[in-house]
Amino acid sequence: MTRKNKNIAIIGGGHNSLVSSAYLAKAGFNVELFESRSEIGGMASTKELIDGYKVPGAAHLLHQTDTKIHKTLKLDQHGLTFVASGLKTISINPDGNALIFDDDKVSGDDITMNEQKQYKEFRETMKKLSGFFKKSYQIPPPRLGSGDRKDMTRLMSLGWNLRSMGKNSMRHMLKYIAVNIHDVLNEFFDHEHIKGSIALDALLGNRLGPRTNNSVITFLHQLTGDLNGVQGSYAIPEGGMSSYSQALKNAAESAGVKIHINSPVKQIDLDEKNKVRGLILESGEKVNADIVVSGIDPKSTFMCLVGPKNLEAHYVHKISNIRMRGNTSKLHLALSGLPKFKGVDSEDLGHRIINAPNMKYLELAHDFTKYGEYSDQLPMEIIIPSIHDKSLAPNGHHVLSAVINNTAYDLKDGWDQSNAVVLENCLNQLEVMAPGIRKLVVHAELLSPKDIENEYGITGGQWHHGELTFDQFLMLRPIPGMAQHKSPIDSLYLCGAGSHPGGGLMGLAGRNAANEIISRES
Amino acid sequence: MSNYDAIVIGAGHNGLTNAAYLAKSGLKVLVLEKNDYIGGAAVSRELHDGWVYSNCSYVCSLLRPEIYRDLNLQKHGLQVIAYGGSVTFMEDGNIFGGYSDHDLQRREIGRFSKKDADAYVRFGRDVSKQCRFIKPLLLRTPPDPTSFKPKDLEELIYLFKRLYGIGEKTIYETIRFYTMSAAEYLEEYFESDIVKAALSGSGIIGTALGPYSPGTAYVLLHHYMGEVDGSIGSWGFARGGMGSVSKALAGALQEYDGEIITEAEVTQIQVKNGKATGVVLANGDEYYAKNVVSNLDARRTYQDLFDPLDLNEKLLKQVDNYKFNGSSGKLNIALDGLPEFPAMGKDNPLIYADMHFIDSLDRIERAYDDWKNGRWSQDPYCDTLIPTMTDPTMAPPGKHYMSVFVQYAPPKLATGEWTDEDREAFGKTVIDQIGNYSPNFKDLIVHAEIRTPQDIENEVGLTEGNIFQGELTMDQMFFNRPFPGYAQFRGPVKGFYMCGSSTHPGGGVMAAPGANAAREILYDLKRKNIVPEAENDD
Repeated sequence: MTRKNKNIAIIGGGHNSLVSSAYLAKAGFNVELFESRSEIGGMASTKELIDGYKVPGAAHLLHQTDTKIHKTLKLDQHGLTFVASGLKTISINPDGNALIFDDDKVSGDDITMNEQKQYKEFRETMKKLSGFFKKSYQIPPPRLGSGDRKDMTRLMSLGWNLRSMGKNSMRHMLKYIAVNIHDVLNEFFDHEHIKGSIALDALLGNRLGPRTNNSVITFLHQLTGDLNGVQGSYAIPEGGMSSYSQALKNAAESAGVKIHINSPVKQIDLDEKNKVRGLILESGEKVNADIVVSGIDPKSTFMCLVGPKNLEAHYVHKISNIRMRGNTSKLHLALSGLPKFKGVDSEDLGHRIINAPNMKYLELAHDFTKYGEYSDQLPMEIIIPSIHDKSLAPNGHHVLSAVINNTAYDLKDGWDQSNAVVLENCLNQLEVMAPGIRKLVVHAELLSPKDIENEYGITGGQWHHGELTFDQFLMLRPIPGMAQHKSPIDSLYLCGAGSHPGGGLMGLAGRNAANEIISRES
Repeated sequence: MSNYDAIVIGAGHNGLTNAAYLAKSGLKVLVLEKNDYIGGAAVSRELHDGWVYSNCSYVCSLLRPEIYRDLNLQKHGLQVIAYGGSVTFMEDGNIFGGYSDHDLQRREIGRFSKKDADAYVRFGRDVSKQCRFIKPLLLRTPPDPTSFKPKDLEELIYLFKRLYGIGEKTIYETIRFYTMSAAEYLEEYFESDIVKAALSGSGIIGTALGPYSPGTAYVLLHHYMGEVDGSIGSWGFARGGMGSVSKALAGALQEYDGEIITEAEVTQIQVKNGKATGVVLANGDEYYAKNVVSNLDARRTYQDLFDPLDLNEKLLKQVDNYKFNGSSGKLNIALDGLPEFPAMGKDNPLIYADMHFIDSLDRIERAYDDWKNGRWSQDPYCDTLIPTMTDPTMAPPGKHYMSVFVQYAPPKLATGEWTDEDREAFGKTVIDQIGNYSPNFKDLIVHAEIRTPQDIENEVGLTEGNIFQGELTMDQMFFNRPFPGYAQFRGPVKGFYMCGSSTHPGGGVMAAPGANAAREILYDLKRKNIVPEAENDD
């Protein structure tokens, strides 16, 4: 059978699925994609908050995209443009002394020349380290001890990438990789506000405190992305986050992918030999396929669509042990005017505003999470996209989108009871940061990890489809033995963020999976 | 003053081990100790009339059996009495017993969860596998992964082969084991909170991490390591207190004509033309040697003993960044009789075992939260033992000695340095916790020595009172211990070495770092290696 006669069914219409489908279609497969919701894009979407106000569905900034994918899929030609890029980060604190981070520069809050130098040095060190991650993200990780030549080659290339970093960087890597951002930052800085601001980047979307080991991995992970060659740069697409998905969709469709929305999948159809035969949709319709690729999280894929009875016991055990405890909520506000944040110039309001005054603050917030509780002082990442994109709100009005960390999926009191309280806490916090903002609020909503799970179908509401920790990283992602996108079910592959190299709107999991399928199934 | 082949600074158990091997090889060796007694943190001290306290370390944790035999420590008077088991007192009045006998342990776990009793079989098998993997590495020198020297490459290949030899599945398990938290690891096996809490305890001893901190799972090894080592007693009481370990090592050293001088505090290491030449004492005396070895921790060694001009700036920074995070305190209590623990019932053999009074992961984690916030734990994790049950020589007849190791106590409080009132209040917290489970305990107390991390630092010289001479986290382990580039026991100047727990494989009364350093020194001196390799029991 040649590629041309092989049918591929892809489950889920998130960005990784779209990327994967486009690459596969370009390679000559017949590709159909099935999305359960009424629009594609998953968490990279734009939604109507209330009449006339549009907010990002979940993700609200692009900053980890992969330039190569961007170019190969010609996303520019498929309609992706930015209303803002190279956003600065403005870290506010209760005293109204803001810090401004602009690429490798930092200013404000009594920053000394020396601290500016330290910051530059820190960024350079960390970019080098994340450069290693970036390289290792380009291919599936090797299996260890498999005896396969391909795996050995991949392992050697990993080893070579590590060695070729130079002695200094290699030592940094081997020292920092398994520990926490708290200790690393203490080696570089004394300034508490700088440390808090940087640490937040390691924690957003994850369930960690600054002192939790693994927070160096998450920090380096979010630094791998680049946008038009600028590493760790933040941007907002024109028309909101859905424009990114839309561009991917256009690219996929122009490559020949058939996209079906409102088509939830009920089951992956297996034959008597446990080989993939196709999909069964909720509607009852059967879809024949030679290969199935799942872009949804590994737990949902195996526990719901494949079913534990079709898996060996040790796989069931490992899959159910994947940690995917969401910890991040989204706050959306419709505002009747532009708020004023303490210590932030009004022309800077369009940038990325964060609330992380020091590491202790972040650690305390995490301490609540550990016991299924929440603090009334939560770390936040805030943007006001309507400043850049007038189409998002009525004239003179605005929308605010904030990522709220340390709101555990598994709250002791449950989200039904807690949602209103957490929302109220957030508004109170915002009122302190931006006095008068409450009066501007036309409408407010808090999407808890539970809501995100319900809306986007991600187990635990975990953004990366599986927490990004050392034991769920590289060859251990999503579980040992499945890191090469291939699953134990014949002809079933994984292409979502739950597989290597993880989430962050990179699309790399999707592309790597496609490449793996192309080389195996041709 | 006379010339030595080697001077060892500090007569802790690693310094003595190191000196003993150098002397055994035929070198002229001198050990200098600041205190008027030897042993460092492995000591027996009579601080109350008639009672002998192991007032710092209190059990032989993984003392390498190869060294025990090789240096004839038994002949020099060291008798290690194996002990096993633990008991956890629960808030609801129940107890959970820990037994070294696998079947007994299963039955005990079965009282709380049948599923966990089955899981314990898998757990035991998996952790033992990790023990066997790691054991030989304890007596080897870590390679420098950035080096292209044949010796390093050879060792890297050895490690690679060893890792590959255990098979694909086990490789993944090994990586996970070293990076997960004790809680996460245990949760993959067990459902019952008391089982998890009881097993996780060994994962937090001496370290400023909670059971939910990634990187604590591997310390579960301790639970099994003794078993793997067999009946040699690498995990047990030293008869007569921990000082017996030091005494036996000193005996071995003296048999090979090594010298020890006490009350000889070294204040400086002399360096000439990039080479260590000797040391200067506080009283001005000077001793010369071709090699100088420090048993002190990395910070004390480099910050206090070296002239900063003899060191490079990068190293000084590494020293500055070396983490101690002292987190442990200790109570040594003289008791008028055996305290009663009603929950355990009379004559329960678990009275010989480690007693703990904290029964859930959340409680242990909260104890850690206190440390982070600059307080001693209000509900501490206490590793409590009554050594006199096993070794009656440590107290007058009918009386008892209780050793309480307390996790967590910060080196500095949020309110500032420890004061006498703080120390008393800290002691009271611990005594109250034990008192909750033993009604007559408080009345039996004849004398109590309360030691904060600061006290341990002041007396023993362990910075921040860290019992391992530096945190045992991944960034300070193996080829990172104490710092990248210096993990092979050699210092930045020729003829200078480190041999304390700040070096591989780290803390615990193992004697491995001292022996490892001796091997490297002998290598540099082109002498035959006489340091034993780990026995293979694969």
